[in-house]
Amino acid sequence: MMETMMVALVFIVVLMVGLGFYFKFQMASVEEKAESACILSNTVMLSSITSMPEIQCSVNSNREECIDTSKLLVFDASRTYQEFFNANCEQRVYFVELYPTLTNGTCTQGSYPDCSYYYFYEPNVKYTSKIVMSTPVSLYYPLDDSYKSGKLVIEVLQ
Amino acid sequence: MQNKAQMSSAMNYLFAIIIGGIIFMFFVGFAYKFMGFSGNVNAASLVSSLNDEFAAFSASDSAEKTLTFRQEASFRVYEGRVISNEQTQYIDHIVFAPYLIEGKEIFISTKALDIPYRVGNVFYVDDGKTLYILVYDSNTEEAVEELTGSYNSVPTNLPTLKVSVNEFGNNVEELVAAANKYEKVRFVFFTKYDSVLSLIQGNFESYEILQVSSSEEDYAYGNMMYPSGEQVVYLGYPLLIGAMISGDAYMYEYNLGLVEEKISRVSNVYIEKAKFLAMRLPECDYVILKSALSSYQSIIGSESYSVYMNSIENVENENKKLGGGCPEVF
Repeated sequence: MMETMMVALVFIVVLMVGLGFYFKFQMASVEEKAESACILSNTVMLSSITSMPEIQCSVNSNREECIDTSKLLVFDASRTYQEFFNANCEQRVYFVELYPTLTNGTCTQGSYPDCSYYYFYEPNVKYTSKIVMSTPVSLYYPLDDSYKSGKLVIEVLQ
Repeated sequence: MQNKAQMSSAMNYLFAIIIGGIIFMFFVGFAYKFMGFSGNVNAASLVSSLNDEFAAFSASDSAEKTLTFRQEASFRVYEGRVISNEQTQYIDHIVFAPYLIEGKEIFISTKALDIPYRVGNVFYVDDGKTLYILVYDSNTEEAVEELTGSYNSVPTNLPTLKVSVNEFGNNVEELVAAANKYEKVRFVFFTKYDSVLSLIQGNFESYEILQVSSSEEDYAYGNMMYPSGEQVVYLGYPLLIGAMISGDAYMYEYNLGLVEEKISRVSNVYIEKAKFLAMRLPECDYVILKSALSSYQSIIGSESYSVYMNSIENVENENKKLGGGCPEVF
């Protein structure tokens, strides 16, 4: 009887250790899947953000492939789209005017248009590293009906 | 002595059976838990991939796609959530769908919603198990033509037929043959159906009748009556198509609420933009447009499509009056 108990005990210990390893690898695989899903979602977001009616150019009720900077000034995505941006992982989203001038200034209704950085979505989170993705965009300035080159930047915060 | 040895052996067997039983139960429990875990991971990845498809589609004015799954997918799109295998994920998209979507092939499509400016995209998800038959008369033939053979048409991945109410009797066998390939038929009447109701009752097993009514010649705005007798308002063809495929009036109205939220949000952006332009360009008059936009925002939630139409027309006209040195707002 003693021998049977010892065999059963050893078997259970080996089983537990095996299952522990199995779950550890399984969790690592799920985390890896979640991270790649996050990168994929943010890549998709690069194109979907530029077509958001809240910031996309609209001329005579027809949309144009550019970002209306005056809409960026008056629309607060951090308040309105919190769930949309936090769907898979945390990210910071902003637009930068690259040409003809790049300054350090953050764009507000007061500093516009002598500025370059339009912060679109900024979560209040701590992070240790980030993955940066960007795509070129055309920025429209309705006050003088001009277009400038810029980029949309998404920083995936980790 | 022999009796004692026999007893000890029997105890060993009993003990081995108990331990064996416990281990067996542990494995069975583990297998069930793993199946649940694996199902949840699959469901989460289904929901996540659908979300990405919607996001990618939102850049397009009109698009269609068939999603093919390795195994049978089964999910619901309800109250802004995709629900699959007890996994729920909220989606920030307006998705019209039947009660339940099942199959290895799922059809998704989208249309941009412009009322009068673009407020976003609406999405349709369907499993192709319902046949939609649009029934018209001489007054509504053009409207149905618009819904079947133009830029505004019902997505081609939704099985759709059209038939004149006067020709219904002559075509009933053909319609029954077509309907037999599907689980259900939804008749969408752009005319009265009293004259053909007995034909439908006598020839079709699983069917539903929806009734569209409008005072507009093109039926772009109007009302839709569900089989339950509930009436809903639609604003533009994309919402009419949404009402056609929605499981019931409640499911449609939930999405209409999201559309109204979008209208309010985008209108607010344009009101703020008009204020900003007025501040920077004091020589331009944005007061009337601002007031038209505010008035449009205030009628959101109205149950009358004509109230919406008047407001939309007013906003559009005031925006058109701008131009030159005074940039249009949208």
